[in-house]
Amino acid sequence: MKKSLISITAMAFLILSAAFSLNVYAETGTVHGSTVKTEQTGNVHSAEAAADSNAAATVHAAPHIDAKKLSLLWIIPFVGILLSIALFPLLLPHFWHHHYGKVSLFWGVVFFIAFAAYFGISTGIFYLLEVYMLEFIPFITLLLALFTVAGGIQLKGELIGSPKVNTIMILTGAILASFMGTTGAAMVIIRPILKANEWRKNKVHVVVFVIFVVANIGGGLTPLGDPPLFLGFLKGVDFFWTVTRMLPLVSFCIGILLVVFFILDSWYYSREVNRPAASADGVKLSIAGIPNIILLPCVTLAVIASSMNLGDAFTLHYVTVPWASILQVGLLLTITLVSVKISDSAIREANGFNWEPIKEVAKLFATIFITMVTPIAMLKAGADGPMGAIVSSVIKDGVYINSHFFWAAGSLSSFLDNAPTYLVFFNTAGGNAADLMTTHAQTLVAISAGAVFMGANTYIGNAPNFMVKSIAEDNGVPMPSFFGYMFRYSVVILIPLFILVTLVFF
Amino acid sequence: MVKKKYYELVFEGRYETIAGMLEGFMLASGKKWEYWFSRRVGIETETFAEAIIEWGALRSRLHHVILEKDFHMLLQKMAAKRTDLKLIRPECTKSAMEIKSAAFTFKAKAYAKKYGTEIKSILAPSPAGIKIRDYKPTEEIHESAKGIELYAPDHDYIFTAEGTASGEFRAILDFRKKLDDHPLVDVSTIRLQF
Repeated sequence: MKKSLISITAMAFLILSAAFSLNVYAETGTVHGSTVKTEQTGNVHSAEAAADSNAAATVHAAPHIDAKKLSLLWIIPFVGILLSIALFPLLLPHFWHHHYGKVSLFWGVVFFIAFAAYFGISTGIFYLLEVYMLEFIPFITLLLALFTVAGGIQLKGELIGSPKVNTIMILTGAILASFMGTTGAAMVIIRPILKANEWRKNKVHVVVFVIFVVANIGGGLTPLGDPPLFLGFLKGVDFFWTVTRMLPLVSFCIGILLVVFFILDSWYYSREVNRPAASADGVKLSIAGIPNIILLPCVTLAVIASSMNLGDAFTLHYVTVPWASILQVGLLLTITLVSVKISDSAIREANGFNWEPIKEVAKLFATIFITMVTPIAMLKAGADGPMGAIVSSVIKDGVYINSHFFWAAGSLSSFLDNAPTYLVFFNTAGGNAADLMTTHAQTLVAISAGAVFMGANTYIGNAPNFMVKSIAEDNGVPMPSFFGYMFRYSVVILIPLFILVTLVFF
Repeated sequence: MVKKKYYELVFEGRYETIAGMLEGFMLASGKKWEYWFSRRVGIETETFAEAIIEWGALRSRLHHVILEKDFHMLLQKMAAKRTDLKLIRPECTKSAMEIKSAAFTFKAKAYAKKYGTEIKSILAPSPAGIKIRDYKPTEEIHESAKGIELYAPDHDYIFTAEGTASGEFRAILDFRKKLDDHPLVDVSTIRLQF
């Protein structure tokens, strides 16, 4: 297996290298490395500081790729890893379950070898360090901390799944999602909901609305809620800007969805024949795992701490790492360790907690982050760049069309992972957080809402969707197929909602 | 015990009129019979042509009803005598056929041993009067897939089964309902043999 993997990697590398080389020679007639320039780079959160003279020392001349004339073939590894994530679980679930790490490594290695060979090893190492030190490590430590803390919290109660109880539980999940992430909230809420509805014959719609509200839209309020928003935060979007700007949209969507759910659930409930009587001595709804609940705001504080200007810690191969970033990672790792130490193991067991989801995120996003370098550079090249068609579809004559941003980001998010999709459109819109929070604020809202909300359109739109589906199936819920989910639920309920969102907000 | 015989009758008229007539007839006769409107209990009824005609009329005029033989015989006999009635007339009965046997297909998929065992216990041994064909349940166990996953979901237990159940009408009707009540089993409509 290892030998064949190495052979495939080597072959793919040769093919891609040849393809890239031929294309670039044909287009530009330049030699390797000639497209490498230098630019002023620095950590994004110190971008504001870079404006003042004190921060000048943190900025360095660094290798930089000029993507204007790059071949579109450079997006193959990025598209490859995203399509692998989208299609393998549907087509070859057993293979993917056992070998997703190797597939991810394959795309990552192919990209990096080709990149380093074409742009030079120095440029390759610069981007590798920049991507991993400034983006990937803060990203994965945040998810690790949120997942660990959420896994130590449990909703308890002998509840009967009536429309009122179900609606309250889904609303609770939506609120939790913005503070512990959609994955954590879905993990906490799904088992109590399934238990409460165990007696019901018609319960598929309950799980579907958990996917809509808890695993997706509920995470739209803060950068902690969903990875796309945290990536925005890492790119310089203010924590509270997201909260205040997204609150009306998130409330609007969740409000409508909960009303629709209540009506639908009441109809199904009226058809149930074996309704259990409420048990007088049953345990009422309660939350177990208080120490972890206390740790949740600490995660928020750790994230906000990374916005502080504490100066630069060190520079490695042109990449400057600020103290604030180190502080954030240190705090998040500490929170993770404390959570592991203080959590009641019975709660983790009841939540079905294990480290596999975080391992998956780490292995797959390590590749997503590095392979994103070229597509993002191409998008930054604007309408004249290789991905000018995407840029032109959302920006006409310099005017940002917010509804197009919403639907374009959403359509891609429906089928590809929403975090890289967010970054693609963030960069299509210029990639300047300061500009996107002010002049083009509604554009960033459209991108954020599209990326976060429309992940609910399919099972593959957002990772917790699969997790919720899988847990529900383990508990005897006959979840619909990929297309069944789309045509019976998301197309019928979510698409009209998103049309309404477009009319009201964009 | 003598096995009951059943007839499928096709009545033309409104549902309420037909149901009222059947129940009124039972009340008046003092007998306790069973009857089922086919569509309501998952019995295959109209042909495609019938469906098109009904859609065209925008309302359902033909009703397939299953009656016990005694019920059917007495009803037809009495209706034939009373040609003066306005709504209940012999010509409203479009057809009457004795049911020889019935059959339906089923499919099941479960991802926890508990549910696989439940389904297996419903299907084997097969109930009296029913024969199950092409039933080959499979169970896959993947120890490495235990626990929750995000991007690489897989189940540690997979049960699948499908087959065809056929036999006496009454037994098939009950058996189909039992399987249909299980959320992880999909059943087809019952096909009647005359």
